[in-house]
Amino acid sequence: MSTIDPGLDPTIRTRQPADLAAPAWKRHAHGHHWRTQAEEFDGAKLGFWLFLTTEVLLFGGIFCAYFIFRTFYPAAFAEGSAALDWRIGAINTAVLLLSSYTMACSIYCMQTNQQKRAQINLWATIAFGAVFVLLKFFLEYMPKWSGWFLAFDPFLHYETTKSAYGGLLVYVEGYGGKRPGQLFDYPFATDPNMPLWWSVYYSGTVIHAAHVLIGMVLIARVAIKGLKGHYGPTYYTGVEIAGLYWHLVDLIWIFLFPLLYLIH
Amino acid sequence: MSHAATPAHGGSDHGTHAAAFNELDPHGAGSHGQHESHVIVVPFQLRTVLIILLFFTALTVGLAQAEVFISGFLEITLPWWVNVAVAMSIAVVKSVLVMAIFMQLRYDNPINSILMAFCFFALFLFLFFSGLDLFSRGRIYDFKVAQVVPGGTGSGVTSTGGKPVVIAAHDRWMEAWGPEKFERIKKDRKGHGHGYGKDHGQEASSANRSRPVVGATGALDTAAAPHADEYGHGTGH
Repeated sequence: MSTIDPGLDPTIRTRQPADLAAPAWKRHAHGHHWRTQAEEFDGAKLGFWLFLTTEVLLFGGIFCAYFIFRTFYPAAFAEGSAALDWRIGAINTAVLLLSSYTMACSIYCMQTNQQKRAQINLWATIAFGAVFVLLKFFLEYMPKWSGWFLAFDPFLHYETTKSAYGGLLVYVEGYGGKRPGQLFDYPFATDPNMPLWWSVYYSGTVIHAAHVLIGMVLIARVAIKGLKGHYGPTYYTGVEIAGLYWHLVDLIWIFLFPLLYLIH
Repeated sequence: MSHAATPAHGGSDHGTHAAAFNELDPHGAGSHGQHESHVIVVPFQLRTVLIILLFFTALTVGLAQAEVFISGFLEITLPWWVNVAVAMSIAVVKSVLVMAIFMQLRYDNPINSILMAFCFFALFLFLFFSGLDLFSRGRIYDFKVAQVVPGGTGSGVTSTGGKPVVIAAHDRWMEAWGPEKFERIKKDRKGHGHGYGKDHGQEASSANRSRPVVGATGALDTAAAPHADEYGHGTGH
């Protein structure tokens, strides 16, 4: 007998012709090195939890630096924390918690094949992340670093001396310059170790904000793939993994917020 | 004419869960890759957890503000670690909720939970041994506890001409504005502090209490900072 074309052999074919009309998630075949789809899913999750442990230890290093410097220079940390507005931090915390909720909801929607609602939840998660980063940059980093505020900043309660960009930005004298290390330029610091506090503050929050941005990119990729029908009740691994990353970002902020903003 | 025996398709699998490994159908072609149903966490549970998390956030903020209030009006200064311990306890509860429900650790293979728990244990070891060192610095040699020179010597920092960074910034702006404008702006900036109750304007901040400062203090003097005895007194703790 002539050799059978492996492409035609029904024993090794993984999809039936009729399935070609089904959405991609129904046609998803798990990798041949996995015994079942469930095991592939569990394997993906285990691998990602292993990665998450490395992320926790990354931020653990920053928390250790915080711990050491706060122990040695408590006055600098108290004075520095007084320069932070806890209200912005609290709003950001609520924003991230809401984003975690919408992310978890999107997984539920995928599990119950509610594709439209899943999309709404995924894009809402990205929007909340964007709100977090924008609040951080425009209400916290920009004023502290340079002294320039947004004109409509609700937390601005100082007199302003000049404006730029047609009145969009306004300048407060003697407010900016709160920068790490050698870049420090704030005139009214009373503790000589203030630059150290700002180093800890900026390194912790900037690395966290970078993770928020990375998470937004991951979730956007998952959302776009979802639009093409790649995820559904029997296969939503990508959504689950992106969700785990996002929840970790939220977890880190849950610890950063009281340590940085609520020292009294 | 004859080829390899056709394996039993998923027909024989319909009665069993697809998770059972069928050697005759390793790719689950017959069952179209269906996997066993995972636990589905419904939005009601998610909403409940969200409300609890938001409540705990408000609680953390409220307790921190209460500490400020107590210190201001009742003149009781709580030790610095009370704030940290309370805030961290609430943060741990929040993180356990997020991990168990949002990240679905509760419904997952226990190995994931064990992994994460071990990671936190490793982090605890990291912090614990650092702390062991930190809090026993002065036990043998006193000089190891205090700052050698407050703010450092500034040597090697070229942009400040050898002065400590904070002093260099102070002098730079004093020169730019002149003394009168400097004092006026300083008063305006510092006047928006956390003060409750009686005016604490002249006391320096400590770990227990951050205070707005008006007027000159001696903090930028190059005299040695008050150093701690072995119990941690004298550093403002």
